Amino acid sequence: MFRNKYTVIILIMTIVISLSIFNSINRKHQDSLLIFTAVSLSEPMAEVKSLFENKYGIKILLNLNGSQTLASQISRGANPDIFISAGNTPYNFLLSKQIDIYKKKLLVLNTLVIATEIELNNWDQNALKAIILDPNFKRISIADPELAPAGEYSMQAINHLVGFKNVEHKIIKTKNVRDAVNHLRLGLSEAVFAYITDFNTYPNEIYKKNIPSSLHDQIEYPIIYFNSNDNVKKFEEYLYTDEAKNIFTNYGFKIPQD
Amino acid sequence: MNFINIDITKKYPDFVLKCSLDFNDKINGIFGPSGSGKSTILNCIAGFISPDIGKIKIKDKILYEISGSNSLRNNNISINPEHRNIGYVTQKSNLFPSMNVDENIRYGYKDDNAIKVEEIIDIMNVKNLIHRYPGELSGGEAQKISIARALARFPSVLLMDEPVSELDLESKLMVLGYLKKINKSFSIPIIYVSHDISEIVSICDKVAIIENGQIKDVKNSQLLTYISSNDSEFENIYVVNESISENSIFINNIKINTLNKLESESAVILIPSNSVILSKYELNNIDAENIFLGKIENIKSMGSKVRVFCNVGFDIVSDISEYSFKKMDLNINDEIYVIFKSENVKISYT
Amino acid sequence: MVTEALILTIQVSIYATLLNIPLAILFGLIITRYKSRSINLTLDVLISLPLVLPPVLSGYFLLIIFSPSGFVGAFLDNLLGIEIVFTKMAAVLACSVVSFPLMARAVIIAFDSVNRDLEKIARSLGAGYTRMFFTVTLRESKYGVIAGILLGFARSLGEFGATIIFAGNIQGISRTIPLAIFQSIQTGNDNDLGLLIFCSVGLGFLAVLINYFLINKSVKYNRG
Repeated sequence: MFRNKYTVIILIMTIVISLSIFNSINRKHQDSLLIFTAVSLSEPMAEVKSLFENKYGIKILLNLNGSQTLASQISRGANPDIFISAGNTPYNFLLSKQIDIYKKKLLVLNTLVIATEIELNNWDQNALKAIILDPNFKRISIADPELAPAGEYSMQAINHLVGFKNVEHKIIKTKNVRDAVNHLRLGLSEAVFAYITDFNTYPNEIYKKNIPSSLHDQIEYPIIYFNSNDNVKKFEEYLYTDEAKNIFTNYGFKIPQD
Repeated sequence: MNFINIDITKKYPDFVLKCSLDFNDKINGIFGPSGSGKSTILNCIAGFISPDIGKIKIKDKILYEISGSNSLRNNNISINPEHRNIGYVTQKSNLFPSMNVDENIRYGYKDDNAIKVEEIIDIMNVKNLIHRYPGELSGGEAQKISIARALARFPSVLLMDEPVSELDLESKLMVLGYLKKINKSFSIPIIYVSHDISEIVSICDKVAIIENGQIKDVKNSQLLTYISSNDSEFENIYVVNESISENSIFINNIKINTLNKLESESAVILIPSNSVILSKYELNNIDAENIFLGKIENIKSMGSKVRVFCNVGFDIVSDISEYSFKKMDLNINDEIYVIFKSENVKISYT
Repeated sequence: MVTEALILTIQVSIYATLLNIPLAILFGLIITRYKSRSINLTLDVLISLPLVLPPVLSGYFLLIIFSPSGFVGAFLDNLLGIEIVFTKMAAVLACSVVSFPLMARAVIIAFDSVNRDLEKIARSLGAGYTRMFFTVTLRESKYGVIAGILLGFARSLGEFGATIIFAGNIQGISRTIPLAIFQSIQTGNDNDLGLLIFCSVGLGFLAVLINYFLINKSVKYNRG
């Protein structure tokens, strides 16, 4: 069989292909950290990543996706070192799947706001209740409470302020909070409930008003550590530095009082 | 001289092939209707199909031997097609479309062959075609190339499966002529399979007649009178190989008057059975040139016709109507006059 | 981000396609030539699965199988100390799996279209199975096979669901153009989005052009 020149060709091709593919196969022995991060923290974490890599020489692999998807991946066998999620639901999900967790802490908090491009009179003085009920706001977008935590918080705030029934006709629910913001941008609604951090790259002039955090559950971003090896420890230390904290606050997140 | 022996059995769900044949080194025919198993025999010899049990031997090389017994002294052999050194030519020329004629012919050729490729190209007269592609060839040309390709390997036998059945008459005769030439020049035995009697008779030396998977008979094609119960129109076929100067030919030394002179040494004579007239009494002053006295050997009813097998020094068959048959009250072993006009003696050349 | 995604996309797609070619040819041969009908049918169904299932599901199956607690992953981990999930190799595998049915199907059609008598004759002329395969089967089905390869490659270029589940959305490792598009939509990065769409369309156009060019060649070849 080996006398045939064609068989030799096949063999050589197979070896060459296999070798070229396997150059980037293994994650295990690299000096690196695999961090699953909710996509809403993409920008601050990207900065944290480059500063940390420069400082410590440890490579960070940042896997960005929706927190629930990340949690599902973990429950199916994915092995990140760290998981930063938006909201506690993914964390509870992991607990229910009996995934081994080393430590859980609170990384940052977010602020819910109502935002609009319309310059309302007396925007600063008016009570939130009046703003929501303002006839200029024919449609208000929020994330669907059943699909996104942002929606839950928005719903809680709306209920507290005006009662949902009263404005039900004005509320448009979207798949996630990003889409809600896009509604505003595309003119599909006049106002939106979203996180303050969602407006960092908003192209047009925008007016935001914070929703008092007493009106809804705390908007938490837990950080979950799956092990305590050296690289992880260094990363955890780095997060406590002012440099790191400033990155998050620059994007509108709040550092919790420890 | 037994060049090739085959003795095989193969069972299919609705058909059993069982035959034992010996072939010499001339052109051997296998003749039978479609579905009788002729192609299967070739496939077994070539090695594309394996029989259930049997033995296939060419000269002294055993290509296939399965004894089917469970004895410990089993020497089951089944050589792969590529090592059997046979040439295979099919009905469609099956030339490799992406290669030109030269590449096709050279496919199986090795430089240390006994015949050189150039010789083959010369003999088959295809030098002007070697740069063409199969798509650009006529049917006859393509079959010539197909044969040349099979030859280039200098096989120990050439297997032909209805090689001319898709060609027009002129191309048919041309290709058949080349086959005869090859068999003569290179002494390569040919096994020629067909359901067309005129092809068989025109080039084959011996013919095996196969029906429904069984060999019915093996005849010398010169004396072939094959009767299939399915033929509604029968042609008496004779092969002559003599030089003639008058308008007559001899079959078994009996003179037959023809309309025209023979134009070539070898010819195939056909006399349709429905143009052969029978008479119990001698007839004078009729316009038929050929009148012979003979004997009825066999009678077969064909529905509305009756087929009468006679011998007047050579076998000849006559189809007559049932009405005439009853009126004449013919029986086997009766003496009978066999009459036909010279214009009904058709001559076909190879 | 955009250049990195572009280079990564081309790299991953080429590797995935190279990985698939021998497998597609092997499976194509078995399915079209092997004697056992039931085996051929089973194989056919199996290789069509990734086409029928949503890519995300294929990604999940890959994750389950290759994660360190999974069937194959545990073996790789214990014996070779290797973890494939969330690496470039994982991205290659994800693309490979989802584009395989397309390539294999086209190869099957191409092999089926080859006249079996040609193969028989090639063998009668002294060609063993390997030589017969290369000089007849493959040569006569060349254009169909190439079209299949391009189809697989084009599918790999646009692969998203399986990649993001099995290899994650990691810059420089698995963030191919489709994932980079996803990323820019999520972060509202319109500049990058525009460039990425341009690249995506460009690559797709290129694949179609090559295919078109080859089909034209095939027409010339079959004429006459």
